[in-house]
Amino acid sequence: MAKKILTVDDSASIRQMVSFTLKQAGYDVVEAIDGVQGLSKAKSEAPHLIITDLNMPNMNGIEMIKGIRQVADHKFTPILMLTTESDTTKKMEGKEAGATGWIVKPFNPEQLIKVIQKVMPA
Amino acid sequence: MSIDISQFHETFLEEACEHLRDFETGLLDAETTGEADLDSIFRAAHSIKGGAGTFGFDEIANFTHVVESVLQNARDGILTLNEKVVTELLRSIDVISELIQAAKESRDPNIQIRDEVYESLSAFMGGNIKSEDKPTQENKPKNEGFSLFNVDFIPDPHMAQTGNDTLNIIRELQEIATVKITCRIDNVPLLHEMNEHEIYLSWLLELETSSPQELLEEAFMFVEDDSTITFTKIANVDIEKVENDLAEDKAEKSKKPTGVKQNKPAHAAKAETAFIRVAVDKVDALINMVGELVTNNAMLELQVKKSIDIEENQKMLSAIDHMNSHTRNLQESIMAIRMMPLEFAFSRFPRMVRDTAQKLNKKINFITNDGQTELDRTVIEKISDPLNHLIRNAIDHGIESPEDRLAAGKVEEGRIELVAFYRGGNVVIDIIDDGKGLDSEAIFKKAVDKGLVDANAHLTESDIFKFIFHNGFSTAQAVTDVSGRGVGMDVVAKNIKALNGSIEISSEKGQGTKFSISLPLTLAIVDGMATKVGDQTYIIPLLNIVESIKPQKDKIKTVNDNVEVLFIRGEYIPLLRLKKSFTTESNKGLTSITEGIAIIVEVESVKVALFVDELLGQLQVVIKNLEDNYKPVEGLSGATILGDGTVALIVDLQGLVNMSQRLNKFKLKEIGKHHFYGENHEVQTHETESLIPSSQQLQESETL
Repeated sequence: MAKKILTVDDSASIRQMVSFTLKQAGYDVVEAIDGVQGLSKAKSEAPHLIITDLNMPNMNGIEMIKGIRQVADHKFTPILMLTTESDTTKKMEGKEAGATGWIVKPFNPEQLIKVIQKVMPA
Repeated sequence: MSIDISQFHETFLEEACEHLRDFETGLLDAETTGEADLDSIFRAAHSIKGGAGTFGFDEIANFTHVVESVLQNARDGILTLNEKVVTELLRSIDVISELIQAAKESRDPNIQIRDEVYESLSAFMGGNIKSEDKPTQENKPKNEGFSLFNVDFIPDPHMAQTGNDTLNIIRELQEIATVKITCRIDNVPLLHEMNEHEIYLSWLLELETSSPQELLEEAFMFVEDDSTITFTKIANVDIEKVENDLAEDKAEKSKKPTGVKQNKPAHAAKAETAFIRVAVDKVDALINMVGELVTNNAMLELQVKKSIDIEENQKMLSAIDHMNSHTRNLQESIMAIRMMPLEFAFSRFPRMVRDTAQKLNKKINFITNDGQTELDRTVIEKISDPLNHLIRNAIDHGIESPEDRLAAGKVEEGRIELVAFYRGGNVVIDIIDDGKGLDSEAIFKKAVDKGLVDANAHLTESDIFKFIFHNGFSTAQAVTDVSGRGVGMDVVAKNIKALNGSIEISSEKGQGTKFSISLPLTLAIVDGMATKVGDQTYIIPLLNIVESIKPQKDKIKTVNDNVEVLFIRGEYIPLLRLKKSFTTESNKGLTSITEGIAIIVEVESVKVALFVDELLGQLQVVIKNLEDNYKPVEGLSGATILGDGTVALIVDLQGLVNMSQRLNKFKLKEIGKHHFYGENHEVQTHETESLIPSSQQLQESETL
């Protein structure tokens, strides 16, 4: 069965691209547009991996990651955050919140898949 | 994997425009309320930058980076968002907007402003902008030789709780190295002391690899900050062997892609979101079709009711009723697709008001309320300019300077409101200012000077105000940079008329002015009355129809030899025979006035009676442009196809009135009522000729 990935981003274009790339790579994809929706879909959809933006309205990525780690099923689920290279503080914050790793923006589809495979081998 | 990311460009560019709007709104809010939602402003800029970088719009990404840096400093409290900074940030919106536009149109952007703004933004940063670290390009294994490493890896006990897994790290290493694994269990506690979430194992990894150390370290990149990882280089192996290995490695790698299926991005797989993008053309086609369906239904109903016994065919009639209501619902749903929030048009104004007010040294509190109204996309596109003009005028001519306001006992800050709401089948947009108001005496004087009106004429205030819609009519004391050239107001009126809308002015001297624009929800469809003249069908817009009567012979009089008037309830109304107005080849149609019907319509508060053979019934028609299919015809606003496949012409009442005025050369002494919104100002205003006599004149000529 294909692994399911939840992608959380307020930007439709990024979401589309991530989603398209993941589907091409054979993953099932669920989308959410902000932290609130992300958290609720993490609970309801039981994804195997979560990719999230950090800067989002309603609930930002850090808060969402903290929330997701509270969910028993997601104690060990890989969570990747999309961040810019200059965001070192954000990176640390994210890790403290429980993020597994990060994908540096801008990224291309190949890099995305590579990082996913790193934390969730096929 | 090969993915063409250009397929997401359009979405990104659209989205970037939205972010820009948020950015602008945020900045303006920050300025007016003094409280900045810097997070959302920053997020907008950040999103644009992130997307631009990802989708390969480097120019946008680089420029937005500076904007973001300035915002970051503001967020960190290093930089105050004073007026100067806000102005530059607003200008940066223009720059980004231009860059986006250029990308959309695949042309080179205008870089002059960009460089200017870039410099001033850099100056706010003290020229100290951290260049964006490009993500490190994939480290190409340097031909460094063949090495042996010992890696001592002691994971942070909490590592698993971040979703990291030692096994994944080892697997990744195995892809680039031969790994000998030793697991150390010295730290594993007794079972009852064990916390299931913690990691107690540590590892000694012996690696044999041709890859450089950096690549090996990459496997640990997500855990290196917390865990203890010690790399020890044991040995280098001779270079020749390495090269052989690399060659083999390469050969193997180059083979790989043939086995992998190259997936061409399938368009069908595009984004599975709650929205779909549909070309406007397709929606228009749908609207057209459903419109014809509606017309078809109406005609069917008409024919059925004509030809069957209503009493005996109740079931059939109720079926037709149902079909009618379903079709109407269908139509409404489809129309709703085209609807856009008026907010789209409104969102551009706060910025304009700010800039204009600044230029004119006025203080203005600009309030918008779109009332969550929605209008047809085409209407929204066409209403922006007129609104822009009216708001500009309100700032320039309406609102007084702060000193004058204080002197007049008003608050220093002027107030302009832009408000929209639904009224009936229309959306009404009000532009209200609390400025000095219109001076009806000055306007009247000017109109007299310009020969538009007789100095002795008695006009109502609202009639006088309408003079400002005349071509070349400006009462502004001096021509300013912003407005006052007298061009524009006539264009405003014309544009609104073209949208089948109307505009009204009310004003009180010293208190302010209100422009009230009423617009139909859509341009595509009109409710009309189908009428017959000879073998032609004409559609008369229902909104304008006051009543229909069967005229009596003694109620018709002729003035000035060729102008017929209809006397009804003490009022004289000019009578136009559609047969005469639109000459057709067959030239059929009733001549005897008592056999036909007079439809009394009101156009811009002027009443006119239209003489037709008979009424066919009320229906809703889809307007087809004559320009597209034939050529523009004066007096007709378009055509439509009826249920039986014949073409009916839609009467443009204002055009018809104008046309008749010209053809009949009726001298009209009193001016004021009849020719606002006219297509041809020259003729009406300067020659002041008109078919349509005023009621005043008719009272005079009653003795004829």
